[in-house]
Amino acid sequence: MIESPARTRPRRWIGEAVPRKEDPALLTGAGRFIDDLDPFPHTHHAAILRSPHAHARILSIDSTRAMALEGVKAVLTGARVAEISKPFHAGITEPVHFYPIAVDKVRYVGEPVAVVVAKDRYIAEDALELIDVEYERLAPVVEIDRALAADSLPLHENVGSNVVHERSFTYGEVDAAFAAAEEVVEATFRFPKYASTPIETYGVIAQYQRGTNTYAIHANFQGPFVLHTLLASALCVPGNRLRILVPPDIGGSFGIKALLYPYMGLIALASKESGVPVKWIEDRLEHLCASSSLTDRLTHVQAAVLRDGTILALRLDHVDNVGAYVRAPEPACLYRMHGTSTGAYRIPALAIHNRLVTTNKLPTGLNRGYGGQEHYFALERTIALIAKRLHLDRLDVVRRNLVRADEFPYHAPAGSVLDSGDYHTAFDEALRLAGYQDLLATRDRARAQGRSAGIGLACVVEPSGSSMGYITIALPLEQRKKSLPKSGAAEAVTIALDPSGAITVRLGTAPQGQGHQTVTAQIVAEELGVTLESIEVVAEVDTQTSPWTIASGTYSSRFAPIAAVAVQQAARKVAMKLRTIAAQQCDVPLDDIDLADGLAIPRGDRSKAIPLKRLAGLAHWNPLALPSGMEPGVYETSYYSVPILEAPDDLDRVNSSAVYGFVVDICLIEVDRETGKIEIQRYVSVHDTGRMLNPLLAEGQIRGGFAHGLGGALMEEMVYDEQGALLSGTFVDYLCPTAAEIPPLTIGHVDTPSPFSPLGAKGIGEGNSMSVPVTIANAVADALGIDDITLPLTPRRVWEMVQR
Amino acid sequence: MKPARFDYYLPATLEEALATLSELGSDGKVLAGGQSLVPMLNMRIAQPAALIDINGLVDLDAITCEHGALRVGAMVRQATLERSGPALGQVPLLAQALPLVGHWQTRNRGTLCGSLAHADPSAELPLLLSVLNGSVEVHSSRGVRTVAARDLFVSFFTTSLEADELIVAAYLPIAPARRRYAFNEFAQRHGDFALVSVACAVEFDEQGMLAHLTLALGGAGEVPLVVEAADALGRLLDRELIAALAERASTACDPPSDHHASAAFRRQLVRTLTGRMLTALVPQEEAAAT
Amino acid sequence: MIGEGSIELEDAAEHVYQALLDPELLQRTIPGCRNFEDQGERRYAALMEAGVGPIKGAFKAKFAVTDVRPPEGYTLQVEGQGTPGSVFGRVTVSLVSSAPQRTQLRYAYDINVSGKIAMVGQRMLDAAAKMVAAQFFKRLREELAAR
Repeated sequence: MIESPARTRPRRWIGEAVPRKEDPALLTGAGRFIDDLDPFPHTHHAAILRSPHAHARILSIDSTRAMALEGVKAVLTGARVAEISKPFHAGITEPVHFYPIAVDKVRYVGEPVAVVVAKDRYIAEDALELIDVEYERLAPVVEIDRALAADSLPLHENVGSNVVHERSFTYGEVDAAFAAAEEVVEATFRFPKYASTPIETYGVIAQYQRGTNTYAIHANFQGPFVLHTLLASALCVPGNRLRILVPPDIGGSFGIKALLYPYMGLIALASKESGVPVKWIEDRLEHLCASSSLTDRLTHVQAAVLRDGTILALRLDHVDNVGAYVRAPEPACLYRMHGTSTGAYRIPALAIHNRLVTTNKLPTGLNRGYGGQEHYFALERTIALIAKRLHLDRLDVVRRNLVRADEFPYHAPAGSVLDSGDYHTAFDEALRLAGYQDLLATRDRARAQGRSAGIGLACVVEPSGSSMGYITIALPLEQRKKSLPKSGAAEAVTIALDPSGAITVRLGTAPQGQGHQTVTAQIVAEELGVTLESIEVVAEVDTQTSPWTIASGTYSSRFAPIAAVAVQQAARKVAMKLRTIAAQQCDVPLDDIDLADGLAIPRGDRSKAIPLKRLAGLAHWNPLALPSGMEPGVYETSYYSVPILEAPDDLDRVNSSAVYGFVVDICLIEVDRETGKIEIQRYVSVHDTGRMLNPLLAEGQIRGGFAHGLGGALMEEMVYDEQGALLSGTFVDYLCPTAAEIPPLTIGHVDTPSPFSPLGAKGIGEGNSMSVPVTIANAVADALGIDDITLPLTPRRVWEMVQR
Repeated sequence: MKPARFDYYLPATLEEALATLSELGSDGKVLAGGQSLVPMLNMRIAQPAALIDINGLVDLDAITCEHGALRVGAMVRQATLERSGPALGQVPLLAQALPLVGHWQTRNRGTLCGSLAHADPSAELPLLLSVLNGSVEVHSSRGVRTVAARDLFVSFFTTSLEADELIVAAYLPIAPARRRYAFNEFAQRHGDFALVSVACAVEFDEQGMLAHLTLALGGAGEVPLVVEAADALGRLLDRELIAALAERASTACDPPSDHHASAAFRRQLVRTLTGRMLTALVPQEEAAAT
Repeated sequence: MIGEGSIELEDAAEHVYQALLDPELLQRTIPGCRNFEDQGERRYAALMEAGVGPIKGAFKAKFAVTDVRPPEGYTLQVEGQGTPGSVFGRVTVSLVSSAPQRTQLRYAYDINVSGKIAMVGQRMLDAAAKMVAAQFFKRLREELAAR
């Protein structure tokens, strides 16, 4: 009888509350951010002249006086940019031309009009004051309603209308459902324009290398690296002549640094024109007027319902305001939630009418929650309205319609495949944590005393790991057929062991503070049986030397379901190689080798174990001793894409995300009717994050999303006046919540590991950005008995609502 | 966000500072804590030809008691004042008002006198000086004069100081034994400029009647506004009087409109805050009786 | 910014009206006005410096007197551009005879500000508009009194 060999289990790291590897450097001021870098000698500095007008024709630009200033190297204007580059592509059919600088016309306040390159930033800013621009003001188009009006002046004359995209979709028997409905609940919702405001602003250091016609651009860019392809095309160079380098540290992004790419192009062109490397660090004024934001949206909802609250069908009419241009990846904001339009509910029929409008406002792009907060504001307000209009208990309406645990994976009508979940249990857990009966009692007691208290709740499906194909749903089928189908969502990771056995992992994710280095180390440590400290995780991306994919980057909460899997796969390749070498050295079958404690251990016998250091040394120093056919060195790259993310089908269905988390929020608020101030007395958020990779990081993500959602609910808005002037141009007027404004948050979990992701993990960073605005809106609606709720719920707005 | 070119002076003595001010006139701007001025320089909405940095004038950072008032030198940081036990004991309103001024970080640099010279009608410290009926000691190479709060603030960001004058100290009257104070503001976030702020000083006599009342408003007009309240003296601070005073405050002011708050909303806030502040000051036995 | 106000003038409406059309007087009453240039047809160009406290901006301004209704009033169109941003809008002036040799001048302004000054100075704009208007009409009164 053969004894099965004793085995050595490696220490488990995945799922542990490991403190962040990143923090010692960051907390001691030793981070290396874009502004800390000085990669090129003789670097000059750029300052950007920006439009004071919302909508105007540029009659002339005279930079003579600026050029005469000592220290000024070059002044670049739109006319020249149009000569030496091409407009950026976006995923719609209408020809909305977008350059990184105004050409002929300015279309929003803050739009670049000229770039000065000078010896230092002071001189560059002095020179801005010496550029004379003559404008002819044009009628501004500021609000969505105006953009929809037939007589609004088109921002883009060649398009001829401010409606730049329109598509309709039908899934299931919508008309029949409405015919069968006992009630139709109908409402219109407006969602405001706001952003994310990372502490670190945009930064670019670009060098045009004349000898090779190559651009090298250092930028705190977060991906997606599909924008590399787009940028190369705009700069008229093949991809291998555009080298993007992302610094080791990025000081937050929350999506907004995806839209850095126009500035990367602009500063690269400024380098080409001036003949010197050019550095530009965006200041806060520039950031608040001219970086990016989410869309403001007008949504009209019709819900076909039965009297018991069963929802038979939804008709959604969306008008998404992308601002002055359609910048890739727009119109993604409108389409990210498309497949998941029915949210957490079993709604069999769905019709969607989508329009995209241009207005004289800052163009839009990725932002934490991207499309989710707009979508759920309408959907979850509708759920509240259904309960109210039908005189039903809101809890019953939710429970009646939630997808049941036995229905997963659930195929939503517009194509999303909800991988796993137990929504009813999560819902009950949220009620339990909130002490729902106590909340009701507290609310009613307050009301009995003449105060205005309200309870809000929302259920949100949180997609993570966006498909690279979903945006193509914006194109009609026949258009889509003309190009190659787009599917999947890939990430690439490389792991190398040097001759001393030191482990380096190279990511393509360009993290911005999420803690990727930490989780990566956890996964690699577990797979290779080594300590966390022995692993160096390099987060710098260099498109010329790092492995990357078009999907690379950090957005759509894609690290946990996608990049982490690529890390695991690369680690397994390395483990396989090391074990194979060890098996040969120990003369045992491969299966008998375990990796633990930095050793390859045959049959659990530590006396015969070989240190990994030695195996790596062998692979580097003595390739002839390797098993036959094995390549020398230890350098493994893994590309992982999500199998379930298929291209849109002929029925316009698309599974837009790899996996789907779930969030239930419940809150109790009280409104001071005299001052309009909202006090959040209790806030509970229960999450399904699949398999949690690191509870500390998960909690950080939830708290961060909560703060962002709170900003959207209560204070953040990009305010433009009726002439399109931006009024919220500093942090005195664009208000973000600070620690003092953030109430206690109770977090719960009902986690159901995803069957579609090898690690089972789901993203978690965006759920509360999506859920908090509508949860608080529902609570205020409940407190005041008012249906028409507009965000942000500033004291002024709430007071005015009370007056009505 | 880089300032335009300016000349920089770092005088070593007060005399030198005053001489420089007198020479530069309106081209010179005094730099103390810089918490308002430096952002304006960086945004280039202020482009003075010269800065006169008074941070080198070590004699100006003293807190002393003189003539029944707390004398706070021009270089006394708000944070120093906030941590000074004796100062808070003598002018208890400081303990209420200072934590509302910006943030810890800004108070570490910002000065009381700098805030008074900046004369932002929404700022807490001009309101504090007004409700305490304090004054400032103003020096120039021509001499020294004392300017009372009511004569100091002229309009938005504008004082009655001449271009060659420097506030060398502020005088905050020491609280009489029976006087009580309150400071209340409404801001959207902690540390923001208040949408409106209200402050008062009250004293009740042995019978519980009002023996003193100063009521002042911030953010509700060009300058901190002291509301006429002499007719309230000798009366009981009851619900009716409080309502009347709150109403008077809200109609006496002329608040601005912006996207954070309309003038009407600011008036409403003045009414509510005044009412709540006065209600909290009603002596406990009176409150129990009414 | 929208605002209005009125001043009482010790003069007949016709005189006030004539004075208001006098470019010389406009030049002297517009706050911080330099390099005033009469471009004919009641259009003027000037450099204008305006501000509140330490916050100052210089604008290249164009003025046009339109909608003339002698002696009841007119509209002054204003358009200015400078490094802090742009300013445009109009001031409507109406004259009402309150007694012989006494005229009430009412003004209403609707001024838009755009660019950096609107972005950073939001909290002060209302105040700035009020102050500039008040300065303008105060000087006007002084000018008329001096005539």
